[in-house]
Amino acid sequence: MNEAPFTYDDIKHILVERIGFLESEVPDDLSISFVELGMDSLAVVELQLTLQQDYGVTIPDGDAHVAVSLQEAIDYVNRQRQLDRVV
Amino acid sequence: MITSMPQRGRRAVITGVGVVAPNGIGNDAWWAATTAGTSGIGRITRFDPSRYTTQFAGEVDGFDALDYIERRLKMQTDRWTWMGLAATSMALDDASFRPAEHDPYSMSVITASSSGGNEFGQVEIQKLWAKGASHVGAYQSIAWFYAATTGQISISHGMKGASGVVVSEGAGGLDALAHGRRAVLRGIATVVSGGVEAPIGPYALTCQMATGRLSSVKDKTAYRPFDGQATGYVPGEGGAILLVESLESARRRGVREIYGEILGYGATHDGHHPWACPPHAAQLTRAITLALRDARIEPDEVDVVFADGAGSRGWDELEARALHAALGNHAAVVPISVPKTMTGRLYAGGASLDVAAALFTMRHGLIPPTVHVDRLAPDCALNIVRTSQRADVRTALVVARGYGGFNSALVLRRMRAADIPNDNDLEDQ
Repeated sequence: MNEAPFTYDDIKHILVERIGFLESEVPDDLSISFVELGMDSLAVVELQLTLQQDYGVTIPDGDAHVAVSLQEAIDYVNRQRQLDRVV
Repeated sequence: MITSMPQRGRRAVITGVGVVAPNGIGNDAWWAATTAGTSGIGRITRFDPSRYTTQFAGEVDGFDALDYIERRLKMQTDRWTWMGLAATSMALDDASFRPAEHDPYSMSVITASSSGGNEFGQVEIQKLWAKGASHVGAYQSIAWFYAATTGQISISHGMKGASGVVVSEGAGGLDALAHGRRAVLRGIATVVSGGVEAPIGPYALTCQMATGRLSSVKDKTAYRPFDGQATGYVPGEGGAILLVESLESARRRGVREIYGEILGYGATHDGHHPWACPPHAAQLTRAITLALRDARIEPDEVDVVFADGAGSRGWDELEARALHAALGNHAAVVPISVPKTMTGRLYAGGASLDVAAALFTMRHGLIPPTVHVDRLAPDCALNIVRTSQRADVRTALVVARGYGGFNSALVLRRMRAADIPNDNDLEDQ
């Protein structure tokens, strides 16, 4: 499993490769939320599944939400991975 | 006003056609190929078919979904839905119909599907077997089921009228149009209808081969309906989406060129066996007779027949018998064509592509050929059109059958500018 911190480039990679955004469609502004990007709940589930498979982060259903911003998602993934390591 | 019963005076016409076919993408390319007798059948290239008994199919080469839809939508959907969305865009353009300018609740989507999102489904199911449930993508839930294409068309164009999907295999292309006509007679203004299918993949082909009706001949001429040496059929992908519209709506929009009217429809079921050929032609005969009666026409008014053309001995003979029983003496003389011989059988996409062919035949006065048929079987005494034939076609009959025992027939009537009634002829909505 990838141990490096989860970054903007990682989430951008997922949005492009798994959700289908063009590179140019992913904004640099990390305060943008998934719903503002045009993602629906199903796209968030796809993101959730990808984070689980590729980054080993288990996200309870209640925590994955379209209103989450890119920065919040990045912070969440890093926090969860830290918690997982402690456990 | 939308009602539960048909409203007097309403008529359903077709104002737009969009084709994605093995022998041409887009109406012009497809019709030019079809009337020239150009086949789109060849050895399968989308995967290695070496270990399959059926190795030839009608594939749509050079189709790029990104020419029609955004990358994000492409990733959420199957090839079958890509083709449906592409054909829908073509049909809307052809009709000069811009959905954004119309009441969302006046527009419906009713398409046919017989196997859903095969390729997408296969990829995800392989992940399930190989890696486990958590590796199955979220979009599997919306990409592979039958209603996906209807739903994505509805979402893409903001069409919120009563919608649905018809699942009756090869008959579905007609059944969807008939359902679309019903919606129009009840007050809906426009219906995106017809069907497409994308069944050329390892999993999908395996499902089809189980029926025993596919040809194992490794040649592009394998599919030869009504031929004494018929060997089964060749599968294909693609189909046609059509815009069914109330005559009133078409007139209000100032449409000058209407392809034709859906004049009559009949459907029956064999109630015999899931896949075996029924012992008699009674139900197919009845479907044709019901369609003629619904259209209020006599058999000799039919100027051309687009036959189902199963491509297997028993099934072909049964259709010939049904045509003779329903059309009487006219069955031996009326021109009959099976342009499917250039595309393969497209399942839910096949009959709506035949409807497109019938509409273009009426508009251009040219009947496309049935290719590769050599010698007709003695029990199939029909006037099969072998090379494109000029003809003044006012009324066309399209016949289609689906696995499971579905029989459908649709009657179309040409509508030229002079045939469009003026204001005084129309009742108020």
